[in-house]
Amino acid sequence: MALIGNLKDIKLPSLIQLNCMERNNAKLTIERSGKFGFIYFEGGQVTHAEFEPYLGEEAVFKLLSLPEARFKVESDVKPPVRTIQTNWSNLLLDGLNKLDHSQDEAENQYYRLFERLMTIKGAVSVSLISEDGHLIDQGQHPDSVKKDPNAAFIMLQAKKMAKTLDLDNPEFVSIFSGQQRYIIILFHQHYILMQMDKKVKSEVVMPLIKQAIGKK
Amino acid sequence: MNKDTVMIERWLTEINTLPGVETVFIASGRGSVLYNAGKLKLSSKELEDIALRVLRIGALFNEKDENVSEIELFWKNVFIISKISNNILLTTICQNPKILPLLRITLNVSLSHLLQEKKIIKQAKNHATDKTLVLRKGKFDEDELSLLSSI
Repeated sequence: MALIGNLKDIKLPSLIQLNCMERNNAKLTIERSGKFGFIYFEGGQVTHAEFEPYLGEEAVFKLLSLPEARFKVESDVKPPVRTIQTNWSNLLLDGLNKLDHSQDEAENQYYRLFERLMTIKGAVSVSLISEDGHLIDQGQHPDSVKKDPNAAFIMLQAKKMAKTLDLDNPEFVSIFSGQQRYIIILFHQHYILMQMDKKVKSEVVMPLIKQAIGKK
Repeated sequence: MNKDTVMIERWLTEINTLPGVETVFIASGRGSVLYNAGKLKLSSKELEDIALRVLRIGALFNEKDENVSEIELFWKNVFIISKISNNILLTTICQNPKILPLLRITLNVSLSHLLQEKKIIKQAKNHATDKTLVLRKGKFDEDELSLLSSI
């Protein structure tokens, strides 16, 4: 009987460890959004993996980065070919190190983005906010932490106005409250909220912000 | 047409004659369009939709005891420039980025004059409401409701 589940409940490293320690001969199929990956176990080792376009160790590393996916383990299935020679524990350690490193890189990417935005004259704080209103990350001058005025709702209203006017999504929204200027910019699937000094003029800082986030 | 209305229309024309200004309208704090002028063919329902959404943005700040005086939305070649004061929203849709600094000055001057017109003062008074009401009353879709629940 096949073992079926989801990687959000049993992590892939645990599944690999279990199959290797039990010395199972098995095929692990992983499916996410219609894309399939396979890991084969033989005699207590991982012997082959596929995750298009990757083969062998690289395929295992890519599969380790999936936060959730459905899986199925079928016993007594032989690999079509052997592409992995590395001991399973070393393979797992390498994969997890690579995963940590890529997560660090993603964090550094925001850090560098915030660093560039905060060098703009008049910048008080920068926040990266998801479309559903969650704060992803934030950078600010000390003692200047302010709550998000609900940038996601503001941009949603702006998008709805765009629909009324038969326009694409707006490039940015600028709000002046007398105490501060807020600028909200679309950034991929997220929003960047910048709190600026009240003296800042939006058309002066916008080209600088666009340059900092790599927008033309 | 009485003297007040003539003066109000004069100020709207002042804004409307700037090159690139497509439309200008005055709305109450509840989002009702009181006056409008311009080339852009937008129905009063569409203008009210824009007014209401601009007011909702302002109301988010009112919830946090901050008063918003200016809300601007930028596309590549279209700009919505709004000024809010004393329960009155003055909004323009413009297509010329070069006149934006002049447009802002004209809007400030026009708004301060408009707010001295008795008719406007009366209408603003009649439509006076809690500034945050626009966040609680009206039609909201699921996404809007979910984002508003986080306030």
